[in-house]
Amino acid sequence: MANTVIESDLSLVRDITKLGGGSLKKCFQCATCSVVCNLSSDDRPFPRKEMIWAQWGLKDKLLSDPDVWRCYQCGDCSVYCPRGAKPAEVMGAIRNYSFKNYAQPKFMGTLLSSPKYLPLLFAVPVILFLLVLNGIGALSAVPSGPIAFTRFDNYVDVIFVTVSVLVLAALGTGVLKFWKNMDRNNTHGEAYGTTGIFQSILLAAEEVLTHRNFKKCEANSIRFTGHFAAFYGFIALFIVTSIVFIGDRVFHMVLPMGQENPVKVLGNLGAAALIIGCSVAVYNRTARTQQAGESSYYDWLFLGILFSIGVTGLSTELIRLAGDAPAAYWSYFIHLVFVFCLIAYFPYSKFAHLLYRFVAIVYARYSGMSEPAQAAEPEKPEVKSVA
Amino acid sequence: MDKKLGVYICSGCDIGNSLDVDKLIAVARDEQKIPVCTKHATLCSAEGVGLIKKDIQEQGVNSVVVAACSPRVHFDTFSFDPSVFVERVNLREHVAWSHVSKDEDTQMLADDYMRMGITKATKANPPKPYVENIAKTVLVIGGGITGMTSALEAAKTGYKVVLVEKAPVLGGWMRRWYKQLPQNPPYKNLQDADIERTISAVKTNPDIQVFTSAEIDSIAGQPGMFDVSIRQNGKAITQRTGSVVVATGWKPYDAGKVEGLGFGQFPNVINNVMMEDIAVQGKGQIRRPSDNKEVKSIVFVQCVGSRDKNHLPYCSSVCCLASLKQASYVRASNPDARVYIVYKDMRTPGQYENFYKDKQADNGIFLTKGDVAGVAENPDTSLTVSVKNTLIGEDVSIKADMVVLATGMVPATDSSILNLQYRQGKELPLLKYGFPDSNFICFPYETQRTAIYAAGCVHQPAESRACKDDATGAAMKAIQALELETRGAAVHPRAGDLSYPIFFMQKCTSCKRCTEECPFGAIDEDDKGTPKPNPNRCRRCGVCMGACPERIISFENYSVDIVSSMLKSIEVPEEDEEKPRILVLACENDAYPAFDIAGFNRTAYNSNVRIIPVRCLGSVNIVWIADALSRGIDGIMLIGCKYGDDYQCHFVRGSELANRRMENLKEVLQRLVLEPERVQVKELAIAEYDRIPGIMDDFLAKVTELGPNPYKSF
Amino acid sequence: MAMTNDNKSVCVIGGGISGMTTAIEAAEIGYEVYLIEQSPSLGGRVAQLNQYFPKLCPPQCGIEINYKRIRINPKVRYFTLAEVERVSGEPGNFTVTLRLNPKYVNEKCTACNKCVEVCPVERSSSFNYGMSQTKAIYLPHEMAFPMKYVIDGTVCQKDQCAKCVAACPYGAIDLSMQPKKLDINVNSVVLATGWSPYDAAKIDNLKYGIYKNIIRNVEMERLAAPNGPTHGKIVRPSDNKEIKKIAFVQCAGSRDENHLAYCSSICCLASMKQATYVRSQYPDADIYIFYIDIRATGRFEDFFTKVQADNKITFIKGKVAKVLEDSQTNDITVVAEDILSGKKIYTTVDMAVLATGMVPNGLTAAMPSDIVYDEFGFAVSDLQTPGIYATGCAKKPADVAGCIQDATGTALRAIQTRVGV
Repeated sequence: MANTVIESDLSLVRDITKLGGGSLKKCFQCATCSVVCNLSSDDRPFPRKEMIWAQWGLKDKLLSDPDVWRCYQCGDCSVYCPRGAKPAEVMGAIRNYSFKNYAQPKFMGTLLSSPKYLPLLFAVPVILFLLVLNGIGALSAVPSGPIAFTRFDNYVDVIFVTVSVLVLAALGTGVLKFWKNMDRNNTHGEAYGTTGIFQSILLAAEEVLTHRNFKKCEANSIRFTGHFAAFYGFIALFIVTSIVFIGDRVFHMVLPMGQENPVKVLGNLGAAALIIGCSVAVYNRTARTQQAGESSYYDWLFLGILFSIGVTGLSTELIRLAGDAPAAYWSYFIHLVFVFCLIAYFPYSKFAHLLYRFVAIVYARYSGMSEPAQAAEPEKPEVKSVA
Repeated sequence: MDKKLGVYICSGCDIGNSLDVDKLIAVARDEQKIPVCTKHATLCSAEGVGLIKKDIQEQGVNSVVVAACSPRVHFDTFSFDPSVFVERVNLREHVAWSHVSKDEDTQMLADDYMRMGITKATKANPPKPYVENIAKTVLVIGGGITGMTSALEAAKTGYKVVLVEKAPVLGGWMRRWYKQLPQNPPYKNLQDADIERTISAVKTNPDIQVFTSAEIDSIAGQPGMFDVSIRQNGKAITQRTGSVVVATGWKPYDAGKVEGLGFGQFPNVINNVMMEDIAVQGKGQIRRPSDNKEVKSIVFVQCVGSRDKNHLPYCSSVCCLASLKQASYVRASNPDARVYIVYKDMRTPGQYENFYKDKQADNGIFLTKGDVAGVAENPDTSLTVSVKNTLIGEDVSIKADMVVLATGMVPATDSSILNLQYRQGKELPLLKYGFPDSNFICFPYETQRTAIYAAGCVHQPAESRACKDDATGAAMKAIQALELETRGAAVHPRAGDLSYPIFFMQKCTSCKRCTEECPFGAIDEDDKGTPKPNPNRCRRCGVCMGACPERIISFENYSVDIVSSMLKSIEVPEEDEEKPRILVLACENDAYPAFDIAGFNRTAYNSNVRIIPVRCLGSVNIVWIADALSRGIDGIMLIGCKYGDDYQCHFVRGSELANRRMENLKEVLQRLVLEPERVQVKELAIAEYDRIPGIMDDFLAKVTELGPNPYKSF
Repeated sequence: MAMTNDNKSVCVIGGGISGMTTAIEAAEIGYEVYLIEQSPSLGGRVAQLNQYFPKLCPPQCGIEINYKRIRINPKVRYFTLAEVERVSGEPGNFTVTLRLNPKYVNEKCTACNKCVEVCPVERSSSFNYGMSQTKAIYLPHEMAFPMKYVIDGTVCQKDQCAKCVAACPYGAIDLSMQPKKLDINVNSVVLATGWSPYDAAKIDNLKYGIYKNIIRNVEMERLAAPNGPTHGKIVRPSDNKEIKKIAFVQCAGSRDENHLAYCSSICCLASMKQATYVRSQYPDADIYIFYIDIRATGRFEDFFTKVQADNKITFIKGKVAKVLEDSQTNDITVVAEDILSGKKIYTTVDMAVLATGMVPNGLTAAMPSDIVYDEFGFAVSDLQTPGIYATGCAKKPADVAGCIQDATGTALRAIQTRVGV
């Protein structure tokens, strides 16, 4: 067996505490959590092992652990934890710690970790967009003619494409490092590589798209509902945005589309789903803290941005339809600010979980880690009729 | 005093339905010639008891035979003036409820029990107690927290105390502790050891006489009258005390004996006692021994010596708590310090779970189960501890400035403590691993040396709160022994028994069997080997009586002669009647009640069986077997408690001795052309009453197979 | 009615092993003792045990000695089916007000059992934790002390039936019996109110009360006891099937903030003991003990070592947090993480035993000053009104020997209390 030299990092416990895992030291390793968790696999159950790694400050182990990302924070473990150690929250904190750690450049990770940098985070897109508006003279006069957001395309494109490239580069490095770390610390071995990488990706995509494992949450099943709605709302909007982007830039589609256009319908439905999903999440995180656990700054920041994108997107559309040009433009402005925040801060915010989780699941499939046990669902007692 | 017997037969509770009571009266009146003989439908009723009382008063009856239910019920109903001897014939549980009613054999059984009861009542007398002048002083040996607590509690109850401490000062280990475990809710915060207050309370108590730098030279005599010779600074001082509390405490196990941990080899590997010294010397600052450097990382290795078959096979109970306590010293000393505790199982029972929980929450304390494979020293005198089988999922190495070995407690019983002038040895007999503990769960103060009680860590490894409770319990027993001795009564388990063994010395052959076999070391002997009984050391089990080949030892109400006469009163039918007779000698605490419960459950067993209760199987004299066999009894079974390591005999070796004696008897039987299988010893616990019919049937089958006792016709 | 004393007396509340010990020890020194027990027999929880650990000897042996000590000692006066309503006064001069609940059977009872033969009403046996029935008139168990029958007033139809009255040859049954009040005057009071097993149904993931073959450790004692519902044969409740595989689930409620945050101290040893019961009845049975930490302090370690050496008994570090039932066979699957291998294990067994913990029994009677309890409900003896002491499991979760040591010491503290002290 490997022999780890322990150099406990006292700061790790402090960091995880700051990131929302303040109860981690309470764990006394009974493994109730690993057992009540419906997502935890038989061969590599979590989160018991992650709890002691975190307690002991074993940073490398946590950063290279795919299981951290196989947790959907259902909260079943926290409900049954005999010590009040709230493993679900600790796992969330470890994830926060993880993407903060993989973030490149490092200072971006720091900027996203505390509310004190929040004004700065928003100032960047606001100033950027104001400069653009100022440059095209739109600040002094509302553009005349029909309300058409396409008039800002060139500038927006420059900004977003640049940001996207940077973000993709940052994400790429982070994810690559993550993959390598997982691979380096993989002692699992045996079934490694029997599932090809493409098949693994397909399997992971299937899991993510169906929320197959997320559905197994018990204590906090409402979380699944919220996430499912927000997730598909977001996907729909992403598809719509992509169609519009390509349609506009490549095929010079006529914009805005009519309300009866299927793409438009999808967009509206997506927005509604996103808003509903986010609302459920907000409700769950505020009214049901007992089951949902305490939420961290990361949770709120991401949820806030997502929620705001939905709301501002919808309001922009409604104002546009109402014909109030200045209001519509400003609303669009705000919408873009949030979109910027979502994209630009992708690798450093909770949004990153989308990718890290996906990669972790791919890795789990690829390296032959087992699925959660089938027996997790207790059989219902059969009612026998009396002969 | 002339014996005047009265026989009273109850016909209630099915006795009358099952038996011909008039025939029983005939046995008493016509055969046994007892003139006062009455039957009653409900003897336990006021009317029934009134009959007996009337006869006692008006007819001068002084020996009452109550033939009714078991002596285990209605004890107080049939208790009269202490001068009146009461014998209970168990017609209900042992006859009517456990045998076929209106049956010839059942009637014969009842007749025999009547005969035995009447015989016993004729021969036995109410005991007269052995009363001497008792010194109401408790000797406490050991001036640590346990000894001091015993002394203070005894003094508070109004008894004098002599406290002897080996060291020049009182206080024991607690004086060396930097802090002590929380003593009260919420069981989270360490407290000052605060031993000085206790020391001064002891010193200023007028009823406690303290001898420091002192040891016991000898203790002679018997409870209530111990002559204690104390040696202090070369001088011998004599004190008379009545009972003793042994509170000599413990020593840390020599960690050097545990290989691979570097104790005594690396300066920064210390034991948990040394850790207290470091904390005290540094006033809470923890600095490592090699270079006085502030400790930034430290590893506690649990179970050093303890829970290890090569060292101390037991758990020392306190080390987990002690290490958690010392971990908080380190954390208080340096907020950046890292403390690692490697345990086998974290043992913080009861409310101390709170203490564990509290320490666990400390960011700088790291806990894991694991096996420490070794400690190695690095060039800078820091240490590397390798740990296997951890909760982390792999083996780990921990680098630390210092290592504390949580060494276990060894009871301080290796040197001479009591120096008892007893024929059977100078110290308390040790049970296991050097602890002189009682072998009984139900009676933790059941000592093998009457009126001498162990308490605190010499009794069992324990934290100070438990030690104080134990100290108080031992003080209670020591005081109680004094009070019982004052009345001439036995202490536990026959508490209150006023009988004691009387030796008919003229016939003694100085064979020393009694002095060797007494489980309590009660009998000394002179140079010639003549026994010198000490009634106050005696627990009245009768093992000496069973041992004596000359039958010179007897109690007023229990003797070789009484039981011999009882069994001889059994009517043995002729061989051709095909009614074998089995005699059961049953331990009165376990086997006898088991027969009662069988009866209560209406469990039938063979009615050829006759039961005589004995105080202990150890009191069974071989003569009884001989008498029974020569009487024509076909088989004899001794039923007693389990013996061996986990013996259940409250007189320690009674059933074991009986077994050994019966083994020796086999040879004799063979010489007499009698099959040794006719005598058997059986272990039966009180709860095993369901086994009785089977045991009896098996034995009867065996005896039937052997054929009738050839001595029947003689 | 009032009873007085010669100024050397103790009232012990609770007639279990701790209370009996305190009472007898004080009485053997020469003090008057009143022993108050709310159930119909002395003996308490230990009387319901099959064997003691680590010696595996029957508790009845020691109980018999204690009964005998009480029997022959006129200084001990005991009241069964009695409750304490109020304690007033001050150290050295307390008045304890008792409510003597009706037994409907008087001192004339000889325990002949005629009443039981005619009684038509059944009740669930509390002695057997509901696993068997007794008649409405019953003897708590065959070693009950006092050896007197008693009627369960909550189920008896009294005058509507009265068959027992006619059947009793001794006029021992009085269906019109009413509760009585009794004041006793004592120097000191000892709380030895003991414990109750934790209500395992509250641990919802362990399915006690839902799946038939999940029982508690206290019930296992009754199953193994010769005077239990199965006469000592350990069989599973659903179909009385013999045991081939069995799991013991440690810390069922204990060391759990959601239930009992403290360690109940005895459950590890109790389960190991029960494993030996199974082992001796079924030499081929496989036994699994799931634990967090094995807490076998002092020389109890020997017992652990012995049990551990048995190759049919497997210890698994990892708490059982999920149980499943096979709806066809009623077999139970317990799920735990085997922490040392880091893998989940599913163990299918015939029956699972929950090692449920001890819940201290408080005292509801009005006291001169409030009893101080710690956060778990254990009485804190040092903080009571002087002259009032707690002992045994009312004070801390402890094994039998520990309780008796404590109870012996408490007897001394109790007799130290005199007027004005």
